[in-house]
Amino acid sequence: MANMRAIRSRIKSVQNTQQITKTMKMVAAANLRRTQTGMSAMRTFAEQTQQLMDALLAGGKQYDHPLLEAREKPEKICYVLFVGNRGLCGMYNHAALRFLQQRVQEDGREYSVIVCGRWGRDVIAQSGLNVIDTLTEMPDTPNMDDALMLAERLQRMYLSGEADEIHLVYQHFKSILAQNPTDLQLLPAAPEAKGESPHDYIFEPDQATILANVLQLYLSNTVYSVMLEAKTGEHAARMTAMSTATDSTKELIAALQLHLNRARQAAITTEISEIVGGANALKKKKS
Amino acid sequence: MDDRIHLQIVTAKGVVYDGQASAVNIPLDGGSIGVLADHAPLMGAVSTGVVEITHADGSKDFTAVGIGVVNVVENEVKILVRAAENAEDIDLDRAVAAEKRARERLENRTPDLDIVRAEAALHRAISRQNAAHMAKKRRP
Repeated sequence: MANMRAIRSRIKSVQNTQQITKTMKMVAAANLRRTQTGMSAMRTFAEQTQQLMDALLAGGKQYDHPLLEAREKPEKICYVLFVGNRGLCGMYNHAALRFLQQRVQEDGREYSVIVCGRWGRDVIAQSGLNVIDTLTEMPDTPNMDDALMLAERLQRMYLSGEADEIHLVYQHFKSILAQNPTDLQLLPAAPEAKGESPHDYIFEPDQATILANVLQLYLSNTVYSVMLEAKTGEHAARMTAMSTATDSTKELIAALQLHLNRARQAAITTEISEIVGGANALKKKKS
Repeated sequence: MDDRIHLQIVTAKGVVYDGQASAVNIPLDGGSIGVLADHAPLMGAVSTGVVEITHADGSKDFTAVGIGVVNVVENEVKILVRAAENAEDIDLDRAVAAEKRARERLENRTPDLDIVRAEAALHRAISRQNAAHMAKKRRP
């Protein structure tokens, strides 16, 4: 009998866990939809910015701009690591962290790390990375203001010489099931002209000023789109992880239910055999 | 005048304004310019300010924009900016509060104040107020 009670309470607790994982899956799915809409809006913008770049850089024109110039001997590298705000999303966070550790080791130059996201303060501290700052105020659906703040900060770091190169390390969103850790160089910017401009433009006031503005857009956009992509990946990873968790709780509940039924059947059988045995004994006495 | 210009104001968040217009007035780095139909291809550096959109029937729309670029090609006007807000969506009280905050910050300077950023915030707040006021005035 005690066995049955234990199984029942076990089923109850697994059911509670299942409820939590199910809810988390649904929340992740809703967030995922939101960030994906953001990504598609972003795409139009990125395409049009590229068109402008093409027109500006047409004919292989070169410009002098502090954000474009590569330092002669880049020595101080700043990595910005994008992780989630919490765990429970499979290998998402760990994979990004491990990727960064590997890069830093292979590179061997002086570096610093800025972490975006609340996840793994302890894990990251133990990893031995030179973390100079952690930004914990990253909402689950990134907005432009956060991206602007970060972009401006990175730009200041670059211009002041605090860093010679700035890299963004994040999980590139390939599909809902696949994210790849990626390293993207933000600064110095290396815009590429992908085509020739068919129009003869008037530039107002001049190309250099326009380029400066385009670069500002490029910076804030890149940071924003990386943020979006990282978040989309996180939500997708959490959704799959939680969906697997829900499935395994289902299996576990089914197995436990089987145990419970078996235990109950055994108890009934014992009871019946006891009664029958008792009755037989009485019969024997009478006769 | 017909509404022959197709105007789009785009930010990273999405398209803020998409419609036909007969004339568009855009704040550029060296002063604002007016664009009419059949304008020559033009590329310009947009500064913080108000985009004024005139329709054929004389009605006007206003949109506050941040820095960015404008691209004019064959009656297609595309304004790509960091941030944009249509006059109808602007919360005037918030803009006034933001202006006050920015002014206070500039007056009581602390050593770690980022002046460029504070000034940019002030400009943004003012241009948003301007857009809202202009839209109110033109409406009967």
